[in-house]
Amino acid sequence: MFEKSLTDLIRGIRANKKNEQKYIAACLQEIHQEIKSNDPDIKAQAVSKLTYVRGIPSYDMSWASFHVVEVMSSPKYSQKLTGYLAATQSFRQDTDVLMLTTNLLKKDLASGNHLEVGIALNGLSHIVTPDLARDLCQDLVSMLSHSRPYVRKKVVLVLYKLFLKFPEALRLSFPRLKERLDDSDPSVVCAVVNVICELARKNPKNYLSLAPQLFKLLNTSSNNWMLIKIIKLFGALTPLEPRLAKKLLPPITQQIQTTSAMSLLYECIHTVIIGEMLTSGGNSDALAAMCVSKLKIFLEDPDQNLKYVGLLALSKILPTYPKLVAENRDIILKCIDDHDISIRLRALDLVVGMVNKKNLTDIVKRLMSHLLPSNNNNESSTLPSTLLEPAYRADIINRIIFICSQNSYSNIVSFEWYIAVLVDLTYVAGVDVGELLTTQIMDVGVRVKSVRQYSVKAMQRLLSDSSLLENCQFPESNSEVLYAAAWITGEFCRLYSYPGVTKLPHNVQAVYIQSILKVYAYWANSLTYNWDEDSKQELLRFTEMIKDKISTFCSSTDLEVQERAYNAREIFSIIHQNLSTTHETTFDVENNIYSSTNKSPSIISELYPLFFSYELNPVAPKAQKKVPVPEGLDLDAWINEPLPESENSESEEEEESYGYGYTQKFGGSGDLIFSSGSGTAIGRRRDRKSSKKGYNSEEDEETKEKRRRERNERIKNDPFYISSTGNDLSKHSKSDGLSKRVTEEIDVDSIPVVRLTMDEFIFKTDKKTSKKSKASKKEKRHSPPPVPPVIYTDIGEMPENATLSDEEKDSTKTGNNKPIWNSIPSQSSGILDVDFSGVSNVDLSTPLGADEKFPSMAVYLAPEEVRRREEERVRRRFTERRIKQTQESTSRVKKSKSEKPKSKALEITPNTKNTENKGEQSSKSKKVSKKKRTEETEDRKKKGKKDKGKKPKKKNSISENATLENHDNVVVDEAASIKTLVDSDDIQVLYTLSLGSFTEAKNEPPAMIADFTVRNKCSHKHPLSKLTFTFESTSDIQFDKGLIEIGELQHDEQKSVTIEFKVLGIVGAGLTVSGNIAYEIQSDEETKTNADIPIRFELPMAVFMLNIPKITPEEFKSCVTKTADFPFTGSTSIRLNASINLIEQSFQNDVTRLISMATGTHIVEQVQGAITMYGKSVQGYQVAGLAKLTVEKNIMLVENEIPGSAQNTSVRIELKCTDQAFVDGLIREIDYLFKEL
Amino acid sequence: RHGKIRLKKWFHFFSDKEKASLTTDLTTLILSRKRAMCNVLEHGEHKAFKLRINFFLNHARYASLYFAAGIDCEENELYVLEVIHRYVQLLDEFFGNVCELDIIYNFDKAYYVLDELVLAGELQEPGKKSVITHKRI
Repeated sequence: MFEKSLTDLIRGIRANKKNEQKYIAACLQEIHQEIKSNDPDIKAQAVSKLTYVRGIPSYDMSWASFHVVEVMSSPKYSQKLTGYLAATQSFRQDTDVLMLTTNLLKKDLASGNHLEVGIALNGLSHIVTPDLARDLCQDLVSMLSHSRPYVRKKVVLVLYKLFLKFPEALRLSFPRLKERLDDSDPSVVCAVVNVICELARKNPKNYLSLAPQLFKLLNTSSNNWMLIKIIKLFGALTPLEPRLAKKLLPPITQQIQTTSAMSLLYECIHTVIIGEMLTSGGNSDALAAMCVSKLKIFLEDPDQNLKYVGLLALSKILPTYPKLVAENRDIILKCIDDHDISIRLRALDLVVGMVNKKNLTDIVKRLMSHLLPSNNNNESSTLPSTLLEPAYRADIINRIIFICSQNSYSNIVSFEWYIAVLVDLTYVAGVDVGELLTTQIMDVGVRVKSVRQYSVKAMQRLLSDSSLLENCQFPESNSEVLYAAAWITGEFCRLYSYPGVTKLPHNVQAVYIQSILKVYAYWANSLTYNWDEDSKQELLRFTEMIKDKISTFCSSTDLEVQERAYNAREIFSIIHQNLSTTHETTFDVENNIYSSTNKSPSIISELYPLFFSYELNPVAPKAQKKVPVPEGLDLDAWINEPLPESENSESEEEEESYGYGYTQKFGGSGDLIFSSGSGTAIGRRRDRKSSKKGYNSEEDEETKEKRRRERNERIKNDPFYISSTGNDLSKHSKSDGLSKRVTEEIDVDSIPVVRLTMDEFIFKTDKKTSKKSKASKKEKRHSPPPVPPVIYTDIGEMPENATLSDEEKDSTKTGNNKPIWNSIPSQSSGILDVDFSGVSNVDLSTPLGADEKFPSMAVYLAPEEVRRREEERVRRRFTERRIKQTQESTSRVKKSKSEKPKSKALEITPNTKNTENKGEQSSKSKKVSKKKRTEETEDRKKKGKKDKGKKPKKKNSISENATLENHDNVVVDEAASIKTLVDSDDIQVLYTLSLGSFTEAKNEPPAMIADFTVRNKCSHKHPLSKLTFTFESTSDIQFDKGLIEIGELQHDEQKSVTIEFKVLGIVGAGLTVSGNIAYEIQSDEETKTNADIPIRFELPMAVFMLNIPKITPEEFKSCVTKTADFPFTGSTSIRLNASINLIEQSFQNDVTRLISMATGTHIVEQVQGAITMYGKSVQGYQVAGLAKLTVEKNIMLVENEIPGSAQNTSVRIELKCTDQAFVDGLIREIDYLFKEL
Repeated sequence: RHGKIRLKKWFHFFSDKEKASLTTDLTTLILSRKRAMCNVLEHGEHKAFKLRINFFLNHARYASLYFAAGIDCEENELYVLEVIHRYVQLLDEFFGNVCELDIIYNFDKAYYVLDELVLAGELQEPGKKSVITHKRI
């Protein structure tokens, strides 16, 4: 009564601004109390308050989740509303109480009040989890035909959320969803379009079939909201179906011309662009022009939003119609200077794509001005702070460099200007872009010869700029550029002193040292041309100075710097030493040989070629590929002669074309391709002449025939070839291509295996790329003409003798794939679309299979469904009681019968009815048929199908089911079946496996009994003696006594032995028992032959299954719902090959029995096309299984359907089990069993 | 003082951390916008997660209130602007010349109106009247 209301709370919070935290804490205390109240009003109010408090960041309300659910389930509408609101605001995907909401949601969805349904739907859209989606999808789909459009439209939208969480639902419900496109209510149609639009963006292929319907809507609807979505949807579809684009053009063009809604206009233009309609349509140029002219209206509009989207659309049209965009250059350039960063960035995108030789300088100047601090104070005040942000500056610089360097600097007219720009950027950047600038400067310096002079000068200026050195500890100063500067000056050198270098980063230091050496060498060498005493002294002085300076680097902490410094110092000290010694000697010999003083010491002139003997030039991107194979190199020649072949081939050539040829085809084809053009051809030892003939048909038939005969003779004895006689061949011919190839029918010579020689190879590539005269080709082939070593700055250095033939092709290729600056990266990695993968993988093109049903019907049922089932059950019980009354005796007989397990299932056919059962049979089948019918109708309702045409067929199947009902209480005991272990000339061993005596104690490992039957079937009727079985105990299987001695066995005598063992290991696939059988054969008095046969058999999973009484479907259901008992699942599917009519039959009769046999389970219930199975293993593992028959029609034939043909029929088997290994083993065995069949 | 969030609704599943950092980032970004600027804002690299959430932010300013909607880059910006506009119109109609206090004190009702307009991130009702009639009850 004295609780704060929501308004009080809000007012209180606003009144206590100073100590808000404290106030809220106090309120939370109250809420804690109130929320536990039994009064639903107070509780709801508390939840409502909590929802408000939660709106303030840093307040968590997950602790109250349970109370929220309580309020959600309130019968009062207003409280329900509060509860759902709290849930949508606070629940997360991992909120545990979500599990409790399933039934609540089910109830609310079935509510008669459409508003309640509405809030439930809205709530569901926020809290949906994969589990909820699975459990509720069926209810929602059935609600698609709700009487109120208000509910229908919401259901449609919520279904979209559901699909994201539970993609299977999409396939199941899509037909129903599609129907809603024709809904009478426009907002429902709009909702469907919205959902399909979203789905189509992820996987458009699925929705192409909807195009006609959508097209109709496009032409008839006047709802702009929906038109936008439809047009967007078409934008996703047209790239897949170009014909659609043509059809769409008239209505879209009309919309563009007539609509007054800017958003619709924009969507149309956008779709025209991204839907690739411009490339496929006929009069695309006119359309493009119209689009651009409309976009111009956007750009000129004072509304910034329109300007923004206009620029965005233009940037999308840019790749295809750069010219049209260029027409608007002035407006776009104006937008670069817009004060709004969003617009600026979009304009920049465009500008980057518009750059050409003419406007490059101007554009770069504009961009540079963005980086420079503006002089005008007024202007800078209007600039938002974002423009000064480092990220923005870095972006601008990146763009400048991108537009300049794209297409190998093709837009740059003056490289000197570019170097100047780069140097300027170094100073004005204000962000760390040093690395980028460095690579650019070096790249340009190396590539462009003419600019080297200039760049060295510019670099000198950079090097001598003390401000860079002083600020080098800040990353923004870009002192890394000095790296390039030093390198360039070193490489193309003119400079030699660097004070204050020690503070620089290590990698820059390292380059400095290297450059010093280079510069020094250059300078020293230049001195040698004019050598005299002065220059020598100067050289000496400098050498000493540099040596001293370098010494400081010798103690650098950086390894690279240190090493280089030591190297340099050593070189300098050698020179110094050398200089000073020659100094003395020149003094000594001055009198004698005057001329020697004018000669410089040799060491100086030798230093120079170390660095400068070759000029450094860029390497062309293709250079590596173009390296020709040197004349003398024969890649086919053996480096070491191979070992001589074991079998002497008849002739060298024979060996060549067959034996060797085949192996060569797989292993050595690479060699053949690269064999040089000088004459070595296919084979390694074949001479040129034969290679020319090669596999040519010119070879006369006679030699061919001879060769073939010789070959067949040879391979007859070759164990590696499969003999090719008669019928044997047909078996292999399909699977084994190789065996086919070696058969005598096939003309091996005609198979075009390897025919490539280098001559042809070159010829081919030439043909493709350029049409040069044949003469030049020939010339090239034999002696490639020396390509003049001209170095193009934009091609780069090529290896000598390289052909430039395919250069043209590649350049055109790169021309097409002109890189477009794209600041909007593909959103594939965005977190906004993490969860679409499932939905986009759903394939809607194949029709629904019979087995595809909404899941979990057994677990959760819609309320109406529950009621219906209840009625059904009551009715059934009633009829059952009546039958009982009339035929009490027969039912008793049946009961006793069901408890009696039958031993051999395979023998049982529908004809094995006992005569005494006959009387009861009819009544029973009647009863069963009734039961079946009720179940079937239920089933039918579940599927939402009201197919009355099937009735006659149904009856048929019922009688079938009825007969089958008689057999399925048979527990199939596969273990009883006898298998063969050994069957040799002397002996035959059969075995059966069965469960040993077991105790209920679960800890004890299961015991097994193996019964062996040994028979002496020695063909010479000799007796076998000392017959023993030995078995090895392994970690999995333990034998108490692993040795059985049988002794002597006369001819045709048969003996049985039994051995018991325990299975210790994990019962799963691949449990094998191994051992061996040893015996002696006494053929006559003297000769005894010892035999030792290894034996090995697998333990099938079914052996572990217990013979348990059959359970009823009801028991089965209740048992399976305890999911804790069946944590593990396995599934497989088996393809059946039979016509559809037979399949039903064979599924009902044979397949199910085989499955139940393989798994050792019994069939619980059998309905048309599906069975359920249940079994229990000796370890106490429970196995529940479901096998369903799926008939998939071939999609291609849907239209002209031919019954019973082109159908894929498979049985899907799903098993649930208590143990993972066990269920895996079972699945494997089923697979094996059916593979054999 | 500024930048209090009155209403927020997520149509995608984000972690609490993501939500928090997104809201703070966007609040500062939006508040830095001037009146004459366009209503689309790009919020690219997200520092907190190194995830690229590349969406445009559409915001429209009404009196002292900002309405913002995060969209992905395939969405039609003008369309979303109109949705925002429609929402404000609805609030106006529902409260009768809406002001910030209306939304503060009746935040739940503001949410309900939004729920009627937008469901699962999609516009569910293009007609203005039907939204109001459903909410009046």
